[in-house]
Amino acid sequence: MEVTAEKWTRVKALFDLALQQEPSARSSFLDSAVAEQDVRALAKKLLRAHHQAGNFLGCPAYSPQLTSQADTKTLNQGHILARRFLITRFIEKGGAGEVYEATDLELQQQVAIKTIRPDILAQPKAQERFKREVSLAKQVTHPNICRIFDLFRHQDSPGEADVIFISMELLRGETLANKLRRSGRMSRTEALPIIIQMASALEAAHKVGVVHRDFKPGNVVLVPNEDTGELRAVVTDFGMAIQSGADLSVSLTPASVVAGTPAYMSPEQVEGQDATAASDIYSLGLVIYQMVTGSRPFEAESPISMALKRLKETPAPPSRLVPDLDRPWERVILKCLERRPESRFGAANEVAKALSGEAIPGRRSSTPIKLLATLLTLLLMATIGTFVLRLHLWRPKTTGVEQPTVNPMRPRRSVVVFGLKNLSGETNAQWLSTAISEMLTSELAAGEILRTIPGESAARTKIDLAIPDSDSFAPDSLKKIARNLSVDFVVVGSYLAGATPNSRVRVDLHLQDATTGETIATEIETGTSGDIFALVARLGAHLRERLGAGEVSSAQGSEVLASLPSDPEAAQFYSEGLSKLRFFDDLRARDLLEQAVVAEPKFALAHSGLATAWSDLGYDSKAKQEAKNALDLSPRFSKETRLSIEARYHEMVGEWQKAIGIYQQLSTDHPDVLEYGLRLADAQMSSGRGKEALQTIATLRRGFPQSAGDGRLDLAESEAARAISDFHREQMAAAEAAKKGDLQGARLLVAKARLSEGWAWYRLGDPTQAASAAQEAKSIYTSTGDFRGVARALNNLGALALEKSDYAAAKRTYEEFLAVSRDTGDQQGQAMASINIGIVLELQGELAAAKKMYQKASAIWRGVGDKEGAATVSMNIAAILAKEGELDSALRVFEDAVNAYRQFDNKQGISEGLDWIGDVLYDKGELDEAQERYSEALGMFREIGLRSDEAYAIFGIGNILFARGDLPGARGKHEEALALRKGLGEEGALAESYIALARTLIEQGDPGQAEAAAREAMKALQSEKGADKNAIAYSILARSLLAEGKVEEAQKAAAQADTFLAKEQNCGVRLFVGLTDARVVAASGMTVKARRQLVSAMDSAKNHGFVGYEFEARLALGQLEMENGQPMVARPLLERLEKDASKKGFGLIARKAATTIR
Amino acid sequence: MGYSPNEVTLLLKQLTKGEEGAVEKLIPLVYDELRRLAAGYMRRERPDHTLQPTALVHEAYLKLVEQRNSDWQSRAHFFGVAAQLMRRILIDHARAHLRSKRGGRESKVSIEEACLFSEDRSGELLALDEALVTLEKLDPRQSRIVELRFYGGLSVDEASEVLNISPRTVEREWTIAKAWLYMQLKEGYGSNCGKMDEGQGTV
Repeated sequence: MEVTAEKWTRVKALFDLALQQEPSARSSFLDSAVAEQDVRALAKKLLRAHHQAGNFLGCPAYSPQLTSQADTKTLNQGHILARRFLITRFIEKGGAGEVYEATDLELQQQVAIKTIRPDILAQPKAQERFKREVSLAKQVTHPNICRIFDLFRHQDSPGEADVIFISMELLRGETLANKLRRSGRMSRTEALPIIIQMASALEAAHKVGVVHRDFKPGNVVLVPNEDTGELRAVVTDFGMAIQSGADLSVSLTPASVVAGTPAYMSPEQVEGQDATAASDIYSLGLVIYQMVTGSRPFEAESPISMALKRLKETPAPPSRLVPDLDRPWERVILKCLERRPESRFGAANEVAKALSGEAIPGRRSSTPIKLLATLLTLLLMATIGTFVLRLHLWRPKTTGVEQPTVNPMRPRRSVVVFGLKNLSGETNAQWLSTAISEMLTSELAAGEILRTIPGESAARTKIDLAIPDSDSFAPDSLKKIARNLSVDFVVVGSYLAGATPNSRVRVDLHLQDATTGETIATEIETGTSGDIFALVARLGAHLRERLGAGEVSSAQGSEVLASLPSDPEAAQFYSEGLSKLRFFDDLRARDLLEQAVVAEPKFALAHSGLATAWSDLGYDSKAKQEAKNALDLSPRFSKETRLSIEARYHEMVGEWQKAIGIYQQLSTDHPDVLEYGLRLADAQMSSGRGKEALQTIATLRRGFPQSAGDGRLDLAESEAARAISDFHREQMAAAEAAKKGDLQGARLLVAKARLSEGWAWYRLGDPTQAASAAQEAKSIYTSTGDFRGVARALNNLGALALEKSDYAAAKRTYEEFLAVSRDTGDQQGQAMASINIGIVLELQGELAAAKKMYQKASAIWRGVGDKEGAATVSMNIAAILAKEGELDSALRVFEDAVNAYRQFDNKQGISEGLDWIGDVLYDKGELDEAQERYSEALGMFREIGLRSDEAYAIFGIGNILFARGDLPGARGKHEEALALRKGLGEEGALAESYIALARTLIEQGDPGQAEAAAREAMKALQSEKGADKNAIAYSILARSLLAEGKVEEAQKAAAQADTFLAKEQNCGVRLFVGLTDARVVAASGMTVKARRQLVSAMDSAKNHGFVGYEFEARLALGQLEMENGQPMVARPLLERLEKDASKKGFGLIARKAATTIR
Repeated sequence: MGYSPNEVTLLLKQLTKGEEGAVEKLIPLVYDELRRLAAGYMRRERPDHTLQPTALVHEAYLKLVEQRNSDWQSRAHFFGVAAQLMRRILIDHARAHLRSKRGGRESKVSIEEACLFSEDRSGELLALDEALVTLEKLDPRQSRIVELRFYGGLSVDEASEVLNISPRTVEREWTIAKAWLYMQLKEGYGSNCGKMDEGQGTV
């Protein structure tokens, strides 16, 4: 559609003109217009589009002119409609049309006539609908519903538009709207009869299937009885609110609330959905509200704003405007105004019954508990990790009370405070939900009679099941919650609170039995914001009573007091921060918790929470600092609390043994809390003690038979299995965890399990399974908003792509990982992503670029104070240095890394580092030292259970034995490593073992087998695009072929090896391949060339310090000269070589040198 | 962040008066808030739940502006700024949604629901945006009007205030722009668009 700006202007003008014509004349107008062909054509197309577009992009925004634009016919007095109705006077203009008083000449009675706007009726299905409504309405005879008599069509004169109208009951009286305007709010006695009648009307209509859709005070007429003056409330305009109903494709589109009465619309109507009986009930609620308070709950500057407010906010409680409003009334009103239709009253007459029935006696707090008046705050518990910190409240009047005993063998009854719904419409009061929940939890936990579920777990469940705060749950939801949390009782409720410290607060609680689904008790308390501590304490006492937990003793009070912040701001920040932490918003959590700590520096629990936030973000040193602060500030907490905080601290600084010790103690002290056992296993795993972790888990399974369906145990087992490289077990346990998680409805658990499983499949060599598991994890994490989880899933997916050698895809995925981590502020994630990108680059042979990425990661880790992380990446950097041939630098960096790991007692890191050092030392020819390292590494690998790395160490030792000349020993080791790798199912590492075997076999004089081994190596490398191993494999093949005398084939193989070399920067590999080439060249008789190559190789080896290769080159040179018939040259070379080699322990080469001389 | 509702209100007043630099200062504030709100909704969004972008803008407005001191002109200008940002945010989200889907599938749904936030609508939203970008090249003022009215929810009067043109002009341009966009989208989507005004579901 190539239109120039100039032409467009003309098109527009033409279009505009055309619109001004009569619809039927528009097309011909365009045909005959004076304009270019293409301009006309476009205008025509636009016109057609305009006609078809209808409501495309929504109606124009609400504008006051809309109603007056209605081109209804104004009827005059004396007008006769349908030859039957004589208009006597005009009553009013409504939204849908006009109302007149008229005389029904046929029936000789006064009626009301209501005309309907033709533009409304012009919409396609409107007439049908309207007729249906009317016929339904005609069937309803009810004193409180305006009688509809009939529907008429009047044609005034031919050519003029029809007038459609209905005749209905004439009502003499003012509307409720008018009355409210006039005399303001009503008393209950005055309002109740009217409400009952209105409800009755709605009920009757709903029974017949008619929904009002536009119920408002303007549609209720109050007809006074001529004799008694009693008011009869009559509801008018049933189903007539066509113009605002959703049935006519005039929905709430982006900007608009259509002409009508948005002020009384239910939220679902505002959103454009069809109105239902529940919508009427909502509107009824609004009307009652207005009657009783004199104003509307959602006041805003414009009807749009009001309507939109309804979508987002909860109504301001009527009791705020009318403080002595009866509580049942308030409850009724608020229930009508529930945002979700299902939560409202099911039928209109229920509303009436609720209002006029007996008032529910509410619990009034009789004893003001004089407590700590200066503390304006709440008792807030931190849950560190998955702990419950049980704080005991001090209640002066309860001294020396008998405590019910708990049978230590039987598991206690469990209860969770699931969260409170904020009904106050004040976003500032949202934090109270967390705060009150935490406080109640600790109140219930006091005395250890009940087992309470930590707030964190409740939050996780909310995410898993996608449940918002509610004041009560249906049995189905309860069951889901119970399954997810394994809990016996659920406490939910709601609260109303104002913004100022002296405003009223009211908390309603429901205690629900999770197994049966019934609500066992309802407790209500009121008070002021400043007194909320006492209020919640009273509620807690009521609940305890219900649950048979006895009263709280006074003794534990002071511990609690020690943990209270004295600054109310701090309390709020802390509570909000805690909430953010639980819903994955680490950055905000950190901000809020920092403010809490600024407001109250000695607030231990805030420091604790802050430590978690920093840790999540990857700022380890800050996390440690805060953990230390928390620890230092907590001496007067209860023992359990203190221990939890301490254990966390030790974990953060890597003092695993201490952490393990504490968790063991906590598990012993509290044998029915599964979480302590899980944390113990976690700590064991983190410190590389995988086997012990598995033992712990086995013990837990025995000790918690009721947790057989809890996926967390299986997940822990899977992670422990990974720590000992038992990938099969990892996969199976993870799959089991996911299955149980599904049943429990624990989505986050499923996600974690899938991640684990994916990882296991990866190591087992099934990338398809691995990918689908990782994808599933990713989508769950995405939908729950856990972006760190998403990052981890991306990490796994990247690794899988890498496995398939799809470097481009791997890099892309890792880069996405990097981006997500950046977005969430996750330092660790950014560092890991950078490393992984580096690894891909390394595999692509871009060593310099890879090193840069590693250095980037290192910088991040150092910046964050994570020495361990920095150590890990330094190993990568060192590996590159080794590849580049910088053996000494590499060695230094490796040593530094190992030292760092020793500081953290990270056995895995230490042993891996040692293994690497062994490699470098071997290259440098330090055989004894290398063997020492390998042995030490091997010992640690065996201890930890890292079987895959065990193979590497054994392989390394094999190489040393080979160099020493202990061929059988070497072969034994290589075969051992090979078997190990086969058993683990690790395809990638197999090649390496085959290559080493081939090498040994050649020297043992069995080139045929060597060739076979070499070919096995190449088979194992089929999907591997990495150059290193391929180059060596072909090289070794060449050597074995050479040993078999198959020179031509050897040449081919060597040439193949060279192709990989072209991309390769790895110094050691170059040397190996180069030496092979030289030998092949020599075998082909090209002595000069061979010599040159060998000398070059020797020099290069010497430069970089590759002693072994240097010796090999020298040996080859000696052999070359010998074969060339130059013993005079050869002998001194070889004699010197023999001496040098022996000195360094290179027995094999020394032996061969000696043999060549003879 | 450090801004207060009063500051934002002041900036809006400046913007109304046409002062330099007010827009630049406003945009990051508004953008942040919108993005945060949008992300919040995205996280909590259930697939069948509909959401109006103007509700988001409105919420941002409630949060950022000192209600008592702002007038309808300020509000109009706020929405003017927010509309543009909202559009960008929506497109970003729609793109992100599509990226995670494998293979686009055509959903047979009326175009006007392009403002709704569920996954299925992402394709339509992007198509609308593309068409809008094309319109922008042709007639920048029309495109801006669509932005203001559709993404920002401004009334004709409010839009005319923001753009400093007569309401009649706004209406004229709006009508034509709609027709043109409809035409563009219909060509891309086939005949499904025609069913719109026949009361198809809750439209």
